Amino acid sequence: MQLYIKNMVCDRCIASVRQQLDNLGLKYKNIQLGEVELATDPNPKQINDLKESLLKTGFELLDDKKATLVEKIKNIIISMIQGYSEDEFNKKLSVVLEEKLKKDYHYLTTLFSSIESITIEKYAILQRIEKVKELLIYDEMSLSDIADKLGYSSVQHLSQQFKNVTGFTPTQFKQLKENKRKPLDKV
Amino acid sequence: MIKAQKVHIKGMVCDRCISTVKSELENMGLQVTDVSLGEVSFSLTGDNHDIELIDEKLKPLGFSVLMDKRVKLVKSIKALIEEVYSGHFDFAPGFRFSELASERLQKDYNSITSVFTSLEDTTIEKYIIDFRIEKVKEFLVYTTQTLADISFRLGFSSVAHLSRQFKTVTGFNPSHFREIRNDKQRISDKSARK
Repeated sequence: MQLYIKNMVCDRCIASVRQQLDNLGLKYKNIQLGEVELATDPNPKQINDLKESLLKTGFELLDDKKATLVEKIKNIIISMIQGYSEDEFNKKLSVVLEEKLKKDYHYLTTLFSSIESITIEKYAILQRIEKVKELLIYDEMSLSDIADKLGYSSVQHLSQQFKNVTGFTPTQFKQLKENKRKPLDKV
Repeated sequence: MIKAQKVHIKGMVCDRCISTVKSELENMGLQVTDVSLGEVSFSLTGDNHDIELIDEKLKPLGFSVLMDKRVKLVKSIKALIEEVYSGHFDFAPGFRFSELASERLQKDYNSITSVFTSLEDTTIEKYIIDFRIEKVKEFLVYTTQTLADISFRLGFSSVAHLSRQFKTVTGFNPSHFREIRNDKQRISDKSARK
């Protein structure tokens, strides 16, 4: 049986979900961002326990079809930007989403916008800026390297977008003392 | 004594990462006072905990400790020096450490030296000389290689160059150094037998 889980963004989330499944004695075949394939069909009590356990750690078990699809879209975007998956930025986001989800892009955007009250494009931008912030704080790559890595056409494009979203230029951001990063599931 | 310390950590992206890092550090016996994305503060009780130990513990979880760029640079210079001047390096004719360093580290040698000097209170050249002389001592005492061999293996241009540098640093000339050491060893061997 396939379960869909909200708010998984990284390998630690996968480890956390795996641990909770183990604790509840549920056998699984496969765990990915946002998806768990169980080996057996759980009874309603087990599902309830899992739900509660997940809620405590900030996840959520999804039973709504539309919400599941939205979560899938998010997972694809996060994987792309965090570099978990092979898809580099040479393909358009719309094409990647259509291929992976086998759904018309128009349908996906309207669904996403209606549930999240933000468009897919805007969401992808926010995720990307969050990654830029992370890389800026590490102070290991130059801005042009970052732009290159995240598929921006130029440094100018990155700087402009960064300023639009955060209100700071990348250099100003680096000089901020406070930490301005957000958890990826809260973007 | 209680000391507060702050470490920057790479690879943290969500709240689960925060709780993972926190529990990992607490398992190590550290008192974690504050964790946010990419930053951990903890207080040290007693002896100094090694940052590298933390790095080791966090590696399998997909994190790593973020080291200061400059500290990292100095570390890699020292590693390079050790690689070159440990007796196994193939010195090309006209070899210059500065050229190799700026090629390997992809940086202008001027900036490399100024970072090194500001953090280490000694210049790269001085550091290399000390390192090389230590190696010469090691070879003199523990092997029976001739001075000519040693000077070749450590990239000195000539035996005379080695001898002169050895004398300025240690005050002995190399063969004298070897004799003294041999004498001492003979004495300690004797006393050990008694």
